[in-house]
Amino acid sequence: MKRLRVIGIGQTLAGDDGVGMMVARHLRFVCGSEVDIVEAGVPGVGLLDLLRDVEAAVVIDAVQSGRPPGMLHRLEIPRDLNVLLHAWGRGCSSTHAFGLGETLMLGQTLGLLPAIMRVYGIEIGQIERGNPLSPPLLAGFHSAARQIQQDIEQLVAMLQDLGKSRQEQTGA
Amino acid sequence: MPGNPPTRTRTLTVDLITRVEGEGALHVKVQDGTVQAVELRIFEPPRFFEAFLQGRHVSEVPDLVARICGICPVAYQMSAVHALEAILGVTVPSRIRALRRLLYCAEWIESHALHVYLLHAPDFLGCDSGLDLARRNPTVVQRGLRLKKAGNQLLTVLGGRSVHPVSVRVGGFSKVPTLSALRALRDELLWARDAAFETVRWVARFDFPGPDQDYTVVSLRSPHEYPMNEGRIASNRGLDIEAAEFETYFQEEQVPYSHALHCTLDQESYLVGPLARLTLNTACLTPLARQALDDTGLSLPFTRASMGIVARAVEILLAIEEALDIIEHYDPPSEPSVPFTVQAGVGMAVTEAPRGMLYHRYVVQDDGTIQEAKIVPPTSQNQRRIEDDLRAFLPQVLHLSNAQAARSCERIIRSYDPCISCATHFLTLHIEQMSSPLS
Repeated sequence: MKRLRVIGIGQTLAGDDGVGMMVARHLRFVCGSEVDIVEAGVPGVGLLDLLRDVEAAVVIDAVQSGRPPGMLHRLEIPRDLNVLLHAWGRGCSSTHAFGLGETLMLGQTLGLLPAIMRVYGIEIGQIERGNPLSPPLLAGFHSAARQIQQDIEQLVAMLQDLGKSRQEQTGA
Repeated sequence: MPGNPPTRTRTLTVDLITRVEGEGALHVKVQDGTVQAVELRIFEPPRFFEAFLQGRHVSEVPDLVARICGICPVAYQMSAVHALEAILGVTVPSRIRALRRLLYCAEWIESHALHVYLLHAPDFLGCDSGLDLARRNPTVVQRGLRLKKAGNQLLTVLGGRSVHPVSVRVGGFSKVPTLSALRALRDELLWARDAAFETVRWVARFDFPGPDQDYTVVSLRSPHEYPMNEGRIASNRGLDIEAAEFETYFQEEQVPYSHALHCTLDQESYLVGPLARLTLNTACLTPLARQALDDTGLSLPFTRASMGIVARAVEILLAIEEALDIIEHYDPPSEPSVPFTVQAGVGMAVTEAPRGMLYHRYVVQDDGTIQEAKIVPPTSQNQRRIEDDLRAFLPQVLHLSNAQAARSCERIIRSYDPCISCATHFLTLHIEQMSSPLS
């Protein structure tokens, strides 16, 4: 079982909306095999199934709040659940009945979230059907992806340390 | 306005109808206590998928149309492959046909379980949302999520992944599951069968608000099985036509206030979806589904859209029974798909998406590229029907506060499980009341 799952969500046929998916695809090439990467599309409540059986999960989604495209927002769950629910509202990436905030709140209510849960929102420009990422977002894409990659590497190291100290405790 | 006689205007706005797929608005005009107009306004720009498909090769179509909807991708794939196979002269063998039915069962299970438990049930239980229901009754919501997951697991084994399956192709599948992969799902499906039976009992105890309507119901009908991929289009008013005749009998029209096209039958509204299917295909219910329906003591035809939740629950049970049966008799096909040679032509197909009939028509050119595509999703077929229900219902709620009236209207709309991200997108409520007798 892998201990960390990274989940990209969004609609790749709707321009910038697919940025979470694109970052996940990128991370597949640069992250180690200890990270399970999933390009989940628009999973709705099905996201909860992807959060089972792991110690830590990272979700990457598109967000639109009027800030410069490519800007990275980072939320720790459950601490920032209210930000996700209210400030991000229904979000722009999921048009479905259960947005990301509602889904994670449901998971929190039912005790289904992993111990470490983080959400990245990448600020986007245009949602245009069928088009690839817009130039302003492309310009900021790699910096956002690099930041997420670094954070993931730290998370992996932390999980390894945790595992070691657990083993030591068990051994003692 | 200066010079105008004084009028009393009441405006009711719900910025976003919740627990439906997408965004839009409902505009209601009331003159002297009489409902003058009910307009369901759908805001999202029309789906460009029909245009998007032009110039694509037939082999690309199943993967592209799967992206139209995250909830019902299988439906889009199934209508597409059947329409294209009609052009290419492909007949799939019975084992592939069974796998396609199994795939559809998976989608019905996951889509219906989501709607029954998280989107619709809260309305009957005085809860504001699925989240609210989860707080008050976590056990029941966990049952719903596990049922949905059973559908998703089946979808994953058949479709390669749980959303936007990638294994469907013209002529069959790119890869078929092994017997052991399917058998591994058996225990969970047996649990799901019990849970679905309990779901029917649970929802049948709800109180179903009106209005009572004499619905024209339309669905596929086939003599030997509950309709999913095949059958003739039938109604309770005697309609009985080939799927290919859809456009001769059903008219799509543009309305000025919405981006989605309205579809009518003889200029009238009609109902598609679980309630319609159940009404027209009771004879083909699986044994437990039949028993569960009988046990409810409710008699068909259902005259209230809110009873759709019962039909949906019965269909979850039916889909699980069918899935278990198909898995039990599964014999992997020797070849995952039938080869085909491209040729020009026009082909149409209707299959039963979770929300109702889904019509596709394609015009294919000599080189196998799509010249034209037409897609009529179930929600655009139900759109006029929803308006008619609201027109009948609104007089009962005009005495209520704006917020209460709006909530009641939302409930009616949710009964239809509208998927506006397919039809396009959904909803704000606006009631304009002029010279109201109400103070």
